[in-house]
Amino acid sequence: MRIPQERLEKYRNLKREFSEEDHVNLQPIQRGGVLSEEAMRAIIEFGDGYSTCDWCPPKSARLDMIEKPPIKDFYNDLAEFLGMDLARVVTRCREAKFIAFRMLGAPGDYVVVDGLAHYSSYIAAELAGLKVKEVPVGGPPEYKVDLDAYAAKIEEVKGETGRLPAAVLLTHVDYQYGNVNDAEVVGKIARDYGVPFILNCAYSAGVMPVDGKNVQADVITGSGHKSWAASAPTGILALRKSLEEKLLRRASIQGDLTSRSFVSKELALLGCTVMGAPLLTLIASFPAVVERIEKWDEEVQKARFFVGELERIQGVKQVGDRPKRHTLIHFETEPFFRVSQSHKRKGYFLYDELRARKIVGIQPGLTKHFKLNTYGLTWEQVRYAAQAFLEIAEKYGLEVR
Amino acid sequence: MSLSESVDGIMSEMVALKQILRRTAPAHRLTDADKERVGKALARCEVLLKSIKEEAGVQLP
Repeated sequence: MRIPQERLEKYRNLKREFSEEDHVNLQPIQRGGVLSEEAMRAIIEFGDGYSTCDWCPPKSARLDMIEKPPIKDFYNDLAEFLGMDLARVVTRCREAKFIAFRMLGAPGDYVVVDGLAHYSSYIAAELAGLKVKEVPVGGPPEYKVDLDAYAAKIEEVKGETGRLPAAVLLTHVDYQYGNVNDAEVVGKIARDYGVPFILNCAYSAGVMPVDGKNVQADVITGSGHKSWAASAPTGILALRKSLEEKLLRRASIQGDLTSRSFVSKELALLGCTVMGAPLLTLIASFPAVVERIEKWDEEVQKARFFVGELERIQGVKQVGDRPKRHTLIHFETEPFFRVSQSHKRKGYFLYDELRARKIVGIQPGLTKHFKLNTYGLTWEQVRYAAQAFLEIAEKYGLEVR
Repeated sequence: MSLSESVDGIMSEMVALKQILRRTAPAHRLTDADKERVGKALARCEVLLKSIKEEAGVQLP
């Protein structure tokens, strides 16, 4: 079918409405994925389809074997950086979790997860045929995961099924409150029971130091587009050598007529994974990522400053860990909600006011509570954004201390 | 210098400038170091533009 030209116009000259060049973007899931200068160049250089595969070795045709560009070296360095033995890049963190669940468990097995796990952890478990046993989360204002309860949940699974869970998963930093969980606690419990420990580092690895060895993680999953200054889709699967045969098992299928087989291909990865520009952005940003995690303390200081400024508005309070240990911040903002009740734009007034000041990333319509992230902003930008909230509060007669 | 090298060089300089814009958004108050970097980028672009004109044999309208 031929598509009329006028319908095709909208696909030309695609532009993002909120460019990072002109706005301060506080979007909670976007800050860690802002590209480095080198990654931007890599997109231009490797945007063409299979351009990463110019030098794919014919005898071991696999993404992780390519030496030009240095994909093979990168995988090794990536594993070392995370304190793990092996690493692969997959499309998303959720895919890494799925691969781990699928290859470690059998249908009907349990996986123990924290009650603040991302929805994709649940879906990955479902697709792998696993059931979930949730570790409880404490109430307000900190909403802490009861890490010691992992042991009780493992026992519960054992009592119910007569066998151990296929794995335990801990969300290192949760998406809701940005709480940093002490992975060592769960690592020790998992080790004591001999259950593989999966640490979901979507919000941590790439922005803050993570050492899988220290916390006894068997598998680390991560998100390139969330925390490694890379384009989507990029996920990270890092593992211990002891799990290589399970997680990276080679394909064994054989054609019944042709007898074709594909023994070099890693089964759960379906062969090659991210063979394009997104992978190259991840690689190109790696030196910047290695450098930036050293400045994590300063990023946390900026987040704490931001919290302090917004809490000058009477009634605004940050929930989750106090003081903040991460840059993802959840605020309860009852005073802005009160304003929205009589404003003609209702809940959208806050979004409008921020946008007028070239600040974006707070979900439009939200005023009762919202999340934001200050990661990677300069001090000047953090001050500017905080000041904007204070100005808006004063404009609508809220008390600012 | 080949045409493609010149074009790549200009794009690379523009990427560097985009990074400065990102760091200084939304007001774009440039520091002295930023201004120096912008100056270097523009100087290099001028050389590269001249090279492109010569290599491609084009006259500006």
